[in-house]
Amino acid sequence: MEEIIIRENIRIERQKAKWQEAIKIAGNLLLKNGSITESYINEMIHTVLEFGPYIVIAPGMAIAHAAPSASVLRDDISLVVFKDPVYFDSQNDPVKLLFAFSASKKEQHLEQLVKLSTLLSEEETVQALEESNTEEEVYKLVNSLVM
Amino acid sequence: MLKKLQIQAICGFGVGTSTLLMMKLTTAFKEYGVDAHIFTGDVIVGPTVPCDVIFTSKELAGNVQRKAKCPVIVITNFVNQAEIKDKVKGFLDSNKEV
Repeated sequence: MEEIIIRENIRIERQKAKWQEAIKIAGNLLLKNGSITESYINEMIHTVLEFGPYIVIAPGMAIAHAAPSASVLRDDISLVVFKDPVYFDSQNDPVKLLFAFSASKKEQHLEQLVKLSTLLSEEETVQALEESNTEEEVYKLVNSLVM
Repeated sequence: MLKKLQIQAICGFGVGTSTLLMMKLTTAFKEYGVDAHIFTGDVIVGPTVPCDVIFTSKELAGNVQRKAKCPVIVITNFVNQAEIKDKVKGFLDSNKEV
């Protein structure tokens, strides 16, 4: 079965980061494996500037994304676990789990995102993700549903 | 209820967070045994699409409310089934009285 998030798209970040930097870190993972072009990262930041921090969808959790556009080369998701939580000026601050995703078409909802939703509804899993110290741990937790 | 309820989940572009919300809403309406059509929309076009109720985030609610002709319900935690179930119940109860 297909993984929800591939190994290379997962990172533990120990440095303190402002929210713009945090989105860059998560976006760079997508950039590195060729799922987006660099401008998508700016589009994700712009989304927050335009609409506010609504991407912080639950306590400690944010999903950075922008509109489907030419900067998206394929559907993908990345995850950065911040050991020093990030502030977005949201009621759900501070953010420990930052996902970034790219969707190439509007009509098509990411199957991976749907699976992720199930995972993120489990409090124990979310807590375990937040407390993870290695990328391998995160990878196993995230993909526990499909493996 | 005569016609199927039209329920819209709105986020910035109708692709990401609204998808998560749509799933939770689907579960909630099913739990109450209500046959509803649940779909996603973006913050620009969504509010002008006819529907019975809109669920969205706190940050987008202001924008949505200005254009929408139906009740707008704010969800704080998009992965918390309990909150969503609770707010769906609130909507269904108020809908009955009308």
